[in-house]
Amino acid sequence: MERSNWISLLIALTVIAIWEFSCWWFSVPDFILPAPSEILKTTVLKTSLLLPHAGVTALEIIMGIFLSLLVSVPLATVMFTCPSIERALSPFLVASQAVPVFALAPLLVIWLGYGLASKVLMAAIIIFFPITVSLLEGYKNCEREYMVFFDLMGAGFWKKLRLLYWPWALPYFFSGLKVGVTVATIGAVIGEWVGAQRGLGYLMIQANARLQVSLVFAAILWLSVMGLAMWVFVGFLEKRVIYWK
Amino acid sequence: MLSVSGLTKRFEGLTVMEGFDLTVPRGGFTTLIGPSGCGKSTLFDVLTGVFPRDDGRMSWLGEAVPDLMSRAAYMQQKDLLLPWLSLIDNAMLPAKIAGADENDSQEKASALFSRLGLHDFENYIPRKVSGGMRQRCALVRTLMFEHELVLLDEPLSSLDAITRRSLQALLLLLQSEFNKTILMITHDIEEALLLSDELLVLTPIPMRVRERFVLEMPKLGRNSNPELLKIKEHVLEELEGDLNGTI
Amino acid sequence: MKNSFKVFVSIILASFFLLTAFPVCAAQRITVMLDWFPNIDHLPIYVAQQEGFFGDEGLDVTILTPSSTTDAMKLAASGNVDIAVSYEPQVIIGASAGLNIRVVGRLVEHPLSVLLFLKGKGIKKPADLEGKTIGYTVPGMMDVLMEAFARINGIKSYVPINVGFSIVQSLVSGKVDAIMGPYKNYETVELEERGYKPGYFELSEWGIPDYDELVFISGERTAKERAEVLRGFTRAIDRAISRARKDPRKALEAYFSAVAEAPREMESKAFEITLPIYAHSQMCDTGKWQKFADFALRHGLIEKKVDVTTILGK
Repeated sequence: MERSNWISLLIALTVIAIWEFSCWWFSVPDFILPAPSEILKTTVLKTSLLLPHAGVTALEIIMGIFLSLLVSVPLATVMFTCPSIERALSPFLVASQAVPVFALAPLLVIWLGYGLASKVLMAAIIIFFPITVSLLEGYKNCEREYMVFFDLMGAGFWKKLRLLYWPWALPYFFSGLKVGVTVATIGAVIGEWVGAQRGLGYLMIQANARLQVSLVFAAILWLSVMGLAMWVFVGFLEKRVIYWK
Repeated sequence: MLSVSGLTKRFEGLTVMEGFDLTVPRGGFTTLIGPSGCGKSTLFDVLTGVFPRDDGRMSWLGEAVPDLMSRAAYMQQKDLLLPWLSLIDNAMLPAKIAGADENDSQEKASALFSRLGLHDFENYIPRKVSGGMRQRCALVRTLMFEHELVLLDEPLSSLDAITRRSLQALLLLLQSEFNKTILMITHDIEEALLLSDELLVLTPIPMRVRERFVLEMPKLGRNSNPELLKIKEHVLEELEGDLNGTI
Repeated sequence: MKNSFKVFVSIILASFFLLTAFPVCAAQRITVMLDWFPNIDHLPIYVAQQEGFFGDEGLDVTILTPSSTTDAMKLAASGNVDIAVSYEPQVIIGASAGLNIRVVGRLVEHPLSVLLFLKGKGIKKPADLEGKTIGYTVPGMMDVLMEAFARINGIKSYVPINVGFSIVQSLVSGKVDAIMGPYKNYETVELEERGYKPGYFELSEWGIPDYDELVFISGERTAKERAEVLRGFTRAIDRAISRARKDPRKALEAYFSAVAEAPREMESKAFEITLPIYAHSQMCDTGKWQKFADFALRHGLIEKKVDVTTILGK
């Protein structure tokens, strides 16, 4: 293991040790702040409870990502093709990022119910902006010399889009996707907080109400691991797709 | 032949060229050489139509053309190979965009790769091969254009002296084996004298042909030709004078 | 690379079909939304489900848990759920505000809500709450009740805070000095279990009239269009309550098998307090309701007079 990895591990272990000690020393009630040992115990023992809820949340996130891609990829492409459309839509794009998502959540639950749909839409809305913008930037970042060269070869716009702009934009697209994947988790959980019957976010609320705070932390732990796994997966996908870097 | 007359281009009040004339006989190899900043690259941009011109006419093989966009093959100082395509896919790009049959293009490109010594590297991506190999690939790509007219914009200036030597020999093939009509820009006088049938020395802005040398001696054995040595000295003096003049 | 473009387009098309395969609207069943996370007060509902009483009435009941303390009534009023568990004061306040709800059944027929605090902090009578921070659990009901309580008992000012579901944490951490809305059969037991000493003011002893703590409500439209179904539901609840009285241990087991997360020891203790006050009949007492409605008008809980006969469907 590299030296920096050793240091990170050391820092993490130190923090956990201080946490564990403080809980014991100050006799903190476990429903105010559970000790790491409690959390670990719950995470392991309650796997059969956590797993199905984690599955639901994971499904919401993945579907949200696909839904977002379905809209953002064509949209970014259209905006690149037609600068007047880009100018017209830019303010809305920025607004979609500025609107606090948790304000939207209750409305979505009223319109779409307690089921999957509202969470999927929440996740999709939250990552819509980073993905659209990074793809658009990627398109625009194509170096002029290549564009001219394609003109010299007699390529029309669609050929340029398919053979030049799209591959050129892929690295930018993937950075946007990596950000999106970690943020989509937030959207799904907020959706669950506002109205759900299953999922890790829902579990967190119920557990908190029942004073099972170590279960809350266990759910958070599972969420972090899920986010991390998705980020790693996208990174892996990125290396396969962008093999030339 | 390529015929250009009365080419005029102004940029924000600066006259880069005015009434510029140029002819390249069919199958000929004409080189332009001049001091930096004399507008050589602007000339190519205007010829191809990347920049609109203010005045002038062009014709190729007797037919009037608005510009050379999609009418000439192009090779530049930067290889502009797409990093995500293999060398052979890069080479086939002009043919693919023009809609040529893929199998035919593949065969043609493969043969050219062998001819230029790149046979073993067809499927490598540009990042994995040297600058010289990339430029050779660019040369193959130039040949994959269907056009007879070839524009070379300082094609070898990014390479080291030794690689440049080997590629110069290959540039000759364009004319001798593939019967292309070539217009080249370079700042390397030796290179110009080695390869061309005709050498045009340019003035600084506003650009004009200051002197024209017709080189009829055979291309083989040009390095040791004393007459060419004299021309080289002469041109160097002129260009140096231009340089001193602008300081 | 050959056309990652094509790959992406196919993925997107596939996901589109995947999405349309998932139904977006709720299923066609009878949905019951609880007022709170599942607890011992809801035992009859779970017993009715586990023992098949709903099935006997031809009902397929889905029990839903709210995400916030105000979800249940809102969703019933808007018709998004068929039945919600609610509270008499909440119903009266809602009706006065123009919500079209109908009471269709009863669950717990006496108040459980108390004003909860921790002993040893100097609170012995309501007047001691002067100037303190007082939390409330259900906005729109408990904060309003708190205002009435304060007025009746001479508390001139206090700081109200919405604590939602977080009762024990808010009290123990000192975020609030007291909370209006916890139940005397639940949070008090919870606090004792963890070594704390809870104290409380019972509302009926301090000026609030008797009321049904937990009732079943429906939106007006649902009450009209699905009247038969709702009657079947309340019949099943009635059977379940009788069953719980006859064989408490079996009822408890049925509840725990349905609600695995429930803390056994604590809720078994709470059950002893709750069992006597599960509703003895599904019909509400009009006189008692009107008395509360009039009290509400007199003490400013509501602005418009409420005629309980409409709400009770008489």
